[in-house]
Amino acid sequence: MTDYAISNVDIGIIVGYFFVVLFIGFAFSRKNNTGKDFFLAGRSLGWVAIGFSLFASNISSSTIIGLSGQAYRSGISVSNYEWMAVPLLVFMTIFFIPFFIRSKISTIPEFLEKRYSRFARRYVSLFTILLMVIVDTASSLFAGVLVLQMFFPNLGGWQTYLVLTMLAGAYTATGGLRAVVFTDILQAVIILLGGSILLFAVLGQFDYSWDAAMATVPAPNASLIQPLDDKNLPWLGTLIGVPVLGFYYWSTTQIICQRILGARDLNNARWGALLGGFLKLPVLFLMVIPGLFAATLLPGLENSDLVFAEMVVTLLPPGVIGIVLAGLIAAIMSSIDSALNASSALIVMDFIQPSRPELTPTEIGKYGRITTLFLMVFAALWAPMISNFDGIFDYLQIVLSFLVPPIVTVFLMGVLWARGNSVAAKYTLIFGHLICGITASLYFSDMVGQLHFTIIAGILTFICIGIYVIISLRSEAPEFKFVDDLTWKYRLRETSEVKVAWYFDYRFLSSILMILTFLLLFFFW
Amino acid sequence: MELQNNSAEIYQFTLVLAFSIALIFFIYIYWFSIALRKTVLEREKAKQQILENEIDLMKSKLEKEQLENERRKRNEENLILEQEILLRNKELTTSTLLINQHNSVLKKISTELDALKTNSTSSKTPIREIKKLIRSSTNFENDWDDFKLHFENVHPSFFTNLDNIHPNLSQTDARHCAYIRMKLSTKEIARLMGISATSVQMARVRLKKKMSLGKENDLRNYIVKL
Repeated sequence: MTDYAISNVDIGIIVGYFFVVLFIGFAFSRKNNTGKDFFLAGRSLGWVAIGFSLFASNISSSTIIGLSGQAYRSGISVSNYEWMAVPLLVFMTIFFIPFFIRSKISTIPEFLEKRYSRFARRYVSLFTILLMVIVDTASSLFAGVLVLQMFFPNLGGWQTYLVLTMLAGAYTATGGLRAVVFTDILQAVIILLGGSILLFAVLGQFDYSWDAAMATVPAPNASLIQPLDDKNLPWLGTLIGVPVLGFYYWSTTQIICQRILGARDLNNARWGALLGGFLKLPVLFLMVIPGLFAATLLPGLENSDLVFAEMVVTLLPPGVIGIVLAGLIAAIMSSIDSALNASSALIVMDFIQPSRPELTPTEIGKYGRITTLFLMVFAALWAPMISNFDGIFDYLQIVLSFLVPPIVTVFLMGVLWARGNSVAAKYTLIFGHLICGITASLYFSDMVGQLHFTIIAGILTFICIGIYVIISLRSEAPEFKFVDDLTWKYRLRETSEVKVAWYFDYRFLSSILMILTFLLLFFFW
Repeated sequence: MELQNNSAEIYQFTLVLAFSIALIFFIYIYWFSIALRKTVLEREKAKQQILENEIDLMKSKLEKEQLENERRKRNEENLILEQEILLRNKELTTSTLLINQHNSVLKKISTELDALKTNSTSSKTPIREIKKLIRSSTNFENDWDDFKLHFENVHPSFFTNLDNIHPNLSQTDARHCAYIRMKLSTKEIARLMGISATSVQMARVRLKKKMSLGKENDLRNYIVKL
């Protein structure tokens, strides 16, 4: 059994890190009077803040632990979930962000009300809240605390949950999105720093030779593209399933899109999304590759999810351990604060405000704070309950993959197809989820057989699109003036945007990003 | 696999990384502050520009108003002047008519006296005396000069202009023109010139010919515009 006790220097670094986060959180907490200030940072965010915040909110502790764990077990194909963010963010930059910014929505489901009906808005909003609070936040907290407890055996379980949620909740409830985003910048830097150190330390064991390290890895594990019968991520799943899950996550969840809605203008929103995509590219090296090489260095671990902790404790010297653990804590906190802010935005803007239109903007801000505090307590109490899943990352992805296809369909078709109507949206959501629920129960009772869950997710999406198209065509077309501003057309590209130099043009930057992604894919084919 | 102890390298790497992050951060902050200062300056400049524009706008508005006022004033003055001219015209007409009447009355008396002189046997001396008196107060030449003087008060340089453009006009023609300029009716002109209305019409046709005006030109308008 490895000795996980850590030095006082590490503890000092972690405590210091907490103070810096709190300081930043409260320093950016001023001027948060109205609901718009609280949930959207007064629509003032620049692209650097948006990009780093997207990255920090996206990387949770289950990402760090799950990615290295899966890589340890079965190779790097798990990082298909990561680089897929780039094409999806580029897709979002081109097709979705213009509508999100132009329609001045404050939550993503609000877009559905403008495009379809209030039913679609509430349905998706409720779904997102439940998924975010019960699955996302809780699993991130759970996975993170599990690792932290190994280093701090004296910490009781529920006390750790409480401290982490209280810290994140404190500045989130006072500062709103502004505090979340600016602490996220620090969190993102710490996460990247911790990952870089870990990669360096792992490579150090192979005398800093990439080729020497790669030579020890069994060939199939070093490839992103896996055969169709692969248990972890077959190529067909990467092709049709991962984009669906990624699209749901990057383009339709409040937790990610809220900072984009808070952008100063369209260009800053686009640059922010592209920067977020750019930061996702090194994840393969910083979080997946260490786990892959750890299979050689630390063979025979029973629980692959502990490989991150093992690497930290066996490969890193005191002091540096503190920084990497701070990175882990940063991942936990930056996901919790984003989730708290996003779900309170959904609850207040999608449910409380429409039923009580007399509320002033200041009162909405107050409701936002109260809801944040309430959710904070709920998350701290709920997280310890999900203690019996192996492979946390798998669990999260599987649950998601059976529930997102209908939601992805209504968003995707809503923007790309002007003929789609609210009737189709309503029945796609209801029937889609019915079909998905049946499929899920078949899958978990092993009746679907060989198919990987990402492939099922892809197939379910095609089914949902089919339902949507058929119902749309069989019912009345929506009135043109309502959907005209909300559906994508070629001419929308030529609107009155602030002209920028060609090397700042989002199309150019998107192309660069796509080329980098293809290079990565080619290199690890 | 035997694990090596790479602590020194890892520390070095961490420090280098931390320093480069700090460096990037400070460069970014520096750049950001410059950009911020620039935007603040630009905003201030824009504000000033707006202020200046407003001042300019106000200035031009003021100028416009002043001009408008002046124009109105001038219009009013013109109106008063015109009314004065009209009044003078009327005065002129009345006085001309009066003098004319007065002359014709005197003429009649003189004729009556002539008849009396031939018919009556009484002393001729008083009659002669009266006739002398009448002759002295009837002065046709003075009549015209007097009129000319009054007329030029109201319409300065009318006769000079007329003479410059149409030097071939006789004195009677000029007088006719003056009456037309005074906007007198044909009847009034006839009375003043001691001829019939038909003769006035004919005189006018002649006048038009002399001034070489076509049929399309209205004599009255032409003279008023002179």
